[in-house]
Amino acid sequence: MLSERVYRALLVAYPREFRGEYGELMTQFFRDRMRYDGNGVRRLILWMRLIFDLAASAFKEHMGGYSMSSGRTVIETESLTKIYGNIVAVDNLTMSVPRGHAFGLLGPNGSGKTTTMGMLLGLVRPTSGSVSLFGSPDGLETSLRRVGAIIEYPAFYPYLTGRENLLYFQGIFERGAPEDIDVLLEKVGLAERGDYRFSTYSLGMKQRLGLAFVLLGDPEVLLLDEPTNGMDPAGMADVRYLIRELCADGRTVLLASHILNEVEQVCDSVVIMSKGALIAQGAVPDILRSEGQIRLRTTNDERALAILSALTWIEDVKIEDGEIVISAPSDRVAEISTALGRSEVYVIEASSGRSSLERYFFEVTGDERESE
Amino acid sequence: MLIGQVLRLTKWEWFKLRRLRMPWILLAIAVLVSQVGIWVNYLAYHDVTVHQVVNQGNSSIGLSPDEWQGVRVTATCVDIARGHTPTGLDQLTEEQQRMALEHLDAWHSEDCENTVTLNELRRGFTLPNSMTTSISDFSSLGPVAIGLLLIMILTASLVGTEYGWGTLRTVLAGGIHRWTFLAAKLLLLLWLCTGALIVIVAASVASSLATAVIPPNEAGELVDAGRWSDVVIVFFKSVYGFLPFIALSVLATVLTRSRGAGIAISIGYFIIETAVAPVLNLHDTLAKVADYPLIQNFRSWTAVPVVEDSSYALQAFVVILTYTVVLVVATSWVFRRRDIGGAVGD
Repeated sequence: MLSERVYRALLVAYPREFRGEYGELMTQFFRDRMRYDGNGVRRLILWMRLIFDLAASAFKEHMGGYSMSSGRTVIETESLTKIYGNIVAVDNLTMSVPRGHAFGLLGPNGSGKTTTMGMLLGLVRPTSGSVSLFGSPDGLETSLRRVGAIIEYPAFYPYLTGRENLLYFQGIFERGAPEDIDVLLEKVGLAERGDYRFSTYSLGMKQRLGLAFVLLGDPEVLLLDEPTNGMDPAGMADVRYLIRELCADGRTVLLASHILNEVEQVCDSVVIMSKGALIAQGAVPDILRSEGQIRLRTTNDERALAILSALTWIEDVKIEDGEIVISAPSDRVAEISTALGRSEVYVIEASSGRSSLERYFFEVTGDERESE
Repeated sequence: MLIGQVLRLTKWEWFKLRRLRMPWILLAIAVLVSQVGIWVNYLAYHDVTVHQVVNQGNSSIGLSPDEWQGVRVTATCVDIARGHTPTGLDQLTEEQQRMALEHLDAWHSEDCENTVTLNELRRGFTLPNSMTTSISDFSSLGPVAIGLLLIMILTASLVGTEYGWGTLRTVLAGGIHRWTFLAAKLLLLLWLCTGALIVIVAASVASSLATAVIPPNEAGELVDAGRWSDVVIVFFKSVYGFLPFIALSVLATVLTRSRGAGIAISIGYFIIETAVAPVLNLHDTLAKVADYPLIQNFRSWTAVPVVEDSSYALQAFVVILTYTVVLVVATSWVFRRRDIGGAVGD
């Protein structure tokens, strides 16, 4: 079908992060049109809506309000702070999540991840600072209609079946069509248990239903808080695959987790929080590269230690288990070898490797036991 | 558009609610309570002792003194109570008629005094008065006012479980405006109260028909079976009167974020006000305050038979409206400002 071909072509040729608002409207139009290919009235309504939306967007841009071309950042926080009594739950958090990225929000329990998510979703009132979704041109609630979110754990009505829960939320949010529910249940592996009451589900099944819930209406942004909590390894792998698939399709995922391996495998960028404050952020490969570790055995370890300690670009150097352990980017082994050679200390054996995000996390959060 | 959102949300609230057992159980209790009055009246009316009174009350009296020259005046208690002209009275002179009526009045007050009670009993299970009575019984039966208690329990449960299960967070995270959610809950509860009253009215019709079919049904004539217009008036007055109690329960539940606490506070208020209002009347100054408690005004607002004193009705109307507006505004203010957390498990 033509509309399907156009839609697929748009996805490939026009990546979401470059689409801007007009591109989004066009892509959404062809996606909806594909769904209603056999329904003339629906198609007419879709055409009218497209024309109206484009006109409205152009008008807003003309009036100098929300810029339609500034659609690259979907979530932004500015000095976001939340204080409960004497406890600073979130402290002056400024971050931005680019469109089409899998973005990790890492931190130990009580670090402020869920509070941050709550503020993004309008559930928690910030003490100070601001939150913006899609630039929030139409207010937070309206923007939230483009977001699928589940916080902490999936909370649904225990006396309704999984299918009825999805039907209810689909109805109140006006997201998608009832026939989508079967597809979603199939997608998250609940097709056979969809007609069982939610109260009879295991934690893993509840998480799966939560994933089906956030996918209702094919939202542009997904906020997932510990989505693999309680899942078996196969389920966790499914979720990781799903997140990667969603991002490949241009959606933005904000994943809050304390499972570092999960974040490392899935996310492009990460924010690390501790005690409510942002303590590190950046692209995961950059963080890992910058936190590389080099292990050496030399002809004179004591002298090598002194020489390397004098190099300013080496963050840390120590002797551990008869080896010199250097915290430095792993691609600078040659420079280290040259520096030592000038002082007639020669490298006998060198090995380099990426530090894991886990190790980095424990270092920056100051957990001594774990970092050792 | 926003009204459309509220209506849509209300529709889906109903989708959710009808799958719960609790509202159906509460409705069954409401119907049973409302029908108790009808059947108690029916049984009392047909009680043997009362039945004897019926015969006595319906027994006729015949007056035929010699000076009336063979004219016999006869009447029953019911005839006199209904103001019917006794048979044969028109054949007497004015003086004779006056004497006859005096005699009949004396006889009536001595022998027919139970007829009124009997009529009241029969009115209790006869249409349309049975409908009015059952609505009134449900709304504010005696000191218990079980209807109000059921409504407050239902209200606190519907709002409190959203906190308890953590589903409030799921709903609001999807972009539902807080006030829309609150408005939909209030609208649903209003609709539920209206629906419950419709079911009660229907049950009353069924009960009244049943009392007419089940023997013994030798009821005789009835002085006054009430007015159909009273049914409509009491119906809408009751629905209006429920509003502040719904708002009170919602506020208590939103404040405490707990179904149990919401129920406890609502019922606690009911008990305290019921106990305190009579005490206020003992004091001269405080007696002025005693005109404005909610429950007292609700009772007078929904009283049967319908009071046609417009000044008193106006006061009750204004008091109920004021309570409703204040409670809804307070609830909205608290609900908008509060952070929404996860499940509290209540």
